[in-house]
Amino acid sequence: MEWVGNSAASREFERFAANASDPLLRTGFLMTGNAKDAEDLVQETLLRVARRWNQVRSMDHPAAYARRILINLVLHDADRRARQRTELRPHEGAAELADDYAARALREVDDQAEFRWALTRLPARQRAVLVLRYWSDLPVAEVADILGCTEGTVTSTASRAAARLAEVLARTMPTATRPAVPHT
Amino acid sequence: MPTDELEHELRRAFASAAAGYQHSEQARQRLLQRNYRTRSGDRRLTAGITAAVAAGSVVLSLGLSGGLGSSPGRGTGTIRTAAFTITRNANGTATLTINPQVLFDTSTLQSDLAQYGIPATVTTGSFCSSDPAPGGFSQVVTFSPAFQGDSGPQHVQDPTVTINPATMPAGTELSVGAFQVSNGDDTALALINTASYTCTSTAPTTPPSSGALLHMSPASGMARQGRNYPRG
Repeated sequence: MEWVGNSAASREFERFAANASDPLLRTGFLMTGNAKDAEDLVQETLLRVARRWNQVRSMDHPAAYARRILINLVLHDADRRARQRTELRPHEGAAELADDYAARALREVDDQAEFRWALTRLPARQRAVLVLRYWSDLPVAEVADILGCTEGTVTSTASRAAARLAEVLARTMPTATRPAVPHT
Repeated sequence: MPTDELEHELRRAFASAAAGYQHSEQARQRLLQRNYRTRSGDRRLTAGITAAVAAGSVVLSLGLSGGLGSSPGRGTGTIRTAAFTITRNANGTATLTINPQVLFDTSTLQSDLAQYGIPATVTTGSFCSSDPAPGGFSQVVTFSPAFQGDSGPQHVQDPTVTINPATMPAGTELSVGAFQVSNGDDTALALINTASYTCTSTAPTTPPSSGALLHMSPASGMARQGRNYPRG
């Protein structure tokens, strides 16, 4: 029956890929800001899942495993390029902006492309925190597990990342529409 | 910790940004047509030539007419590898020519058949069948040269197999099993019920029930084919 199992496993993987590819593509798109890069990223992710499918298929949430692979691919690439671990520290020279300022800045954005572009200006780990929390809608604990950090780091990074996002967006806005910078 | 208002705005912004991913379905189709079982992996998704290495043979998959991302059922095209050629015909059928000199890679053939809308289970060193075998094999698979008579081996030159996916009964797929035997290669074909079949590593010596058996002799280039289903 071994061959039946292998053939059934192949079809099971194909069904998994069919269901998982769309959310993976969108996650990849948000993480890279580029459709071609997202597609390459998801291909690599599915390749890695396929190689370990015999183990992955028995997991409770194979899709979550695939997402974890995708995020780690981006972070590994960013680490390789940057060769430094500054992503979880505040951007040097940036003022600490209040959450309500960041919220106002986001509310003013009506151009998706601008938001995606601003997202790519974030360090990869800050971007990952935002994508996993507010696109994938994962709880803080799960984000912490994926990124290998504490829950406190996730929440503080989320605030800093949002502030950084607002700062980038504010620079591209016409002066008249920029939210007022809070006094610090 | 981010305020509720900030989190609300972030979710709204991300939902809008993700919805703006316009090419998702095309990208998804390209990803699903890729073979994730090749040993060394195929990393390029650009339309045109992609390459994968399997068992020491260079396998070239030429882009389908209309470029990658064309869904099965449209247009014509040819996939040509060292081990086999599949040609999609204008009437929706696909013609498979097997090179007796090269044992094909099962995952490549299975994936390429799937590209042309032909669900298949392709194995080497084993063959999968259903008991009872689903009917309709002769409507799905035809041979050239055509079989003469109802049974018995027939010596032919360069046989081709034409598969019509439109006539495949619901819940079935094509089973293709290849074996290396002492004097060449045997390829067994049959329809199987997708939900119920078993596989055996014993090379069939006679055509499977409601199926066919091709014997390829690389030395002479001749093939012998036998079938086990009524004419028509």
